[in-house]
Amino acid sequence: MTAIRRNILNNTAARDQFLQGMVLLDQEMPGITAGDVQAFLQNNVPHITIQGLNQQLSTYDLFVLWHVVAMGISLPVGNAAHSGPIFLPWHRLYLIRLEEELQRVLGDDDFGLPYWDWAADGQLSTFQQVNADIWSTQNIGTSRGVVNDGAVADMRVRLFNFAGNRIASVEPRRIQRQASNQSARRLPRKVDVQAALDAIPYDEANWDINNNAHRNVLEGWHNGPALHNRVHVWIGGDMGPGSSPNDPAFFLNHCNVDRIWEAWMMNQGRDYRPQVGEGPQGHRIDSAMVSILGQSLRPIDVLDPSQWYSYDDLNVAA
Amino acid sequence: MKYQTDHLDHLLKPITGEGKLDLPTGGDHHHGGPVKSIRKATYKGKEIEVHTTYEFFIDGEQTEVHAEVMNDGKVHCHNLPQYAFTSAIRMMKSIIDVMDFKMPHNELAGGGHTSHDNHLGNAGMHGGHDHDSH
Repeated sequence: MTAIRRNILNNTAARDQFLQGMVLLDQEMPGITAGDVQAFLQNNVPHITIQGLNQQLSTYDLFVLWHVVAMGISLPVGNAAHSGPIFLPWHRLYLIRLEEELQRVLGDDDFGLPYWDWAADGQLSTFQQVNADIWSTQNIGTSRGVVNDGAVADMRVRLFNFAGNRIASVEPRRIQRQASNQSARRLPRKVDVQAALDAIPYDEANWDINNNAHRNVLEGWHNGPALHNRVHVWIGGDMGPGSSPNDPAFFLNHCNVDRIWEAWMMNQGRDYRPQVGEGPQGHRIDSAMVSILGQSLRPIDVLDPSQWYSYDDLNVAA
Repeated sequence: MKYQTDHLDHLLKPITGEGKLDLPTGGDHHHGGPVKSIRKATYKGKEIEVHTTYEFFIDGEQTEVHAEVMNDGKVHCHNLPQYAFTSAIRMMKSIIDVMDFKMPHNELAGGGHTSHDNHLGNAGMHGGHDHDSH
């Protein structure tokens, strides 16, 4: 049996398990310190550095680290997780790995990550978006300021990507948000999701942030910040820098992004470009995706996610 | 066994193991100085290239920012990976906002090579940026 990923606002059981699991992963200390991470970085990616407190890091912190590391590896186009074709498969791998760890700490092999259908909230007024149900104490807490309410208040930021390839190991603090800020006043809307569904092919030369193909539209560079990018920018605060997985909203956003990609593939076929020997290294269908937690996979390995999960509803633009 | 959760060995091996990760290569690792961004497009069969060179300063100190100009004229940078700014000044203001926090005492100093990359001010750090191993 595989997991079913559901809308967090329609399924209180999935929501409660998600919040419980995130807190458990954030409180699980596997014995890795910031000093260990420093040695790991020096051994593998010495241009990425860490400074600050030599403290114990949680399993959740290591997911934050993974995102910063992947982002810090520059490729001929974009980096090892963004701004190129690898964006969608890399984040699919990342979410699968987190989902597996949530299943472990929850003791539930069928647990599926919930998604936040942010385009549904994007249909609301700007005022209503900031005060929408997702930001309630029962869900993921306030959209503006320090998150002092709900389960997310029990989570702590320990690693913070304060500049380019520099990570700070900071005194544990709560997550911060600044929803509807000057860089993005409102969320994406359903019409934007429809535009991503209509965009073909998956990607195209020059494989960068300047085309109108599906990946680039969904990542949010076309007329950006749009779609995925806009959700990061709209939430702001800890969702801004490369350590954005500190905020559980990151995973709700990316689960919805993955759902839109899955809906696109249901219509267009499991078509990935660039193929073998085509396009920039690190973005090809057979490129090994950067993983610091568990085994690496290639885009071709994750194009069909049915061995791991499915979605309850793929009517993403409705 | 140093690590307290044996059942996590499969997950943590890339970090706790001594072997190196198999990482992709091919990108530029910028080593200071002006940043050059090149835009390319094709129009009526003609190949267009627009080269833009940036130098960033904060309080008179040259600051490394991996900036890139998009074809629509917006500016993107590595520091804020999802943003597309309408101006480079607006981008620098947002970068300063992210840096505006109190860096704790650096207990990890002396751990070897420190960054020569992304020199973005000291963000409240004690002693600022360390070049001791260059």
